[in-house]
Amino acid sequence: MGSHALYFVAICEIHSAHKDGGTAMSSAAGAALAVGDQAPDLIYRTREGQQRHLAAAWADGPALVVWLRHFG
Amino acid sequence: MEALAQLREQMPELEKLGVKLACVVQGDADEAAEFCGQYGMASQCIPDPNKESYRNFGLDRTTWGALLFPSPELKKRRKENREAGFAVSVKGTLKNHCDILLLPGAAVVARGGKILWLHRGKNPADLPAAEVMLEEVRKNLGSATVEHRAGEGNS
Repeated sequence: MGSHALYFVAICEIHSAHKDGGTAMSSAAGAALAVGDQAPDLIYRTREGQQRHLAAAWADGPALVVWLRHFG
Repeated sequence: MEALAQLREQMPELEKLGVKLACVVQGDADEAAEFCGQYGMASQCIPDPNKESYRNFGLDRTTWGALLFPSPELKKRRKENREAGFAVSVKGTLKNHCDILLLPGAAVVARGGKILWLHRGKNPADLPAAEVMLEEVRKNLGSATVEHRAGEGNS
């Protein structure tokens, strides 16, 4: 039972690394980002297809930005 | 409790402080609206199907081992979520854009874009409670105001 679980985990890790291109998720620039740096923007699309900027959140005042893990 | 439900409770306080809330989720616009809409937070959610923002802020991924053999902290978080009526949907995690290994994070950003506080999750349960984030907002906005005033004095 234990060895089966470990085997399953190993397969999942290999699949995950392959899916991710074998590289770490975070970019080198992202990992180096620190307090005091300029927050990177994100351009995204709304349901209506309009282009928006994450930076709009802090354009006129402070913002709390939260990155959620999953959406289900 | 699910992060979005916690954050919704803090919305009046954030509004009082003049702080905008942006919740970045992995899905596309439709998926983000559907998920966040369940908590009445659709307008606060930012879709990031390519995980660009996660990468840009240096958020990392966990391992399958950490999910399948959870730490006591993750077990505790899952139990709290279950007891509060929230559960991770298998259907949701299997959606195209969802990377279940992604770790959470949070930041307080000053007007103009300077990062005042940045928290990168070290494990899947490592997202501070909304009250803690609000405390960081108060603390950091206070120091940012002092710094801003000092800057004005020097000019």
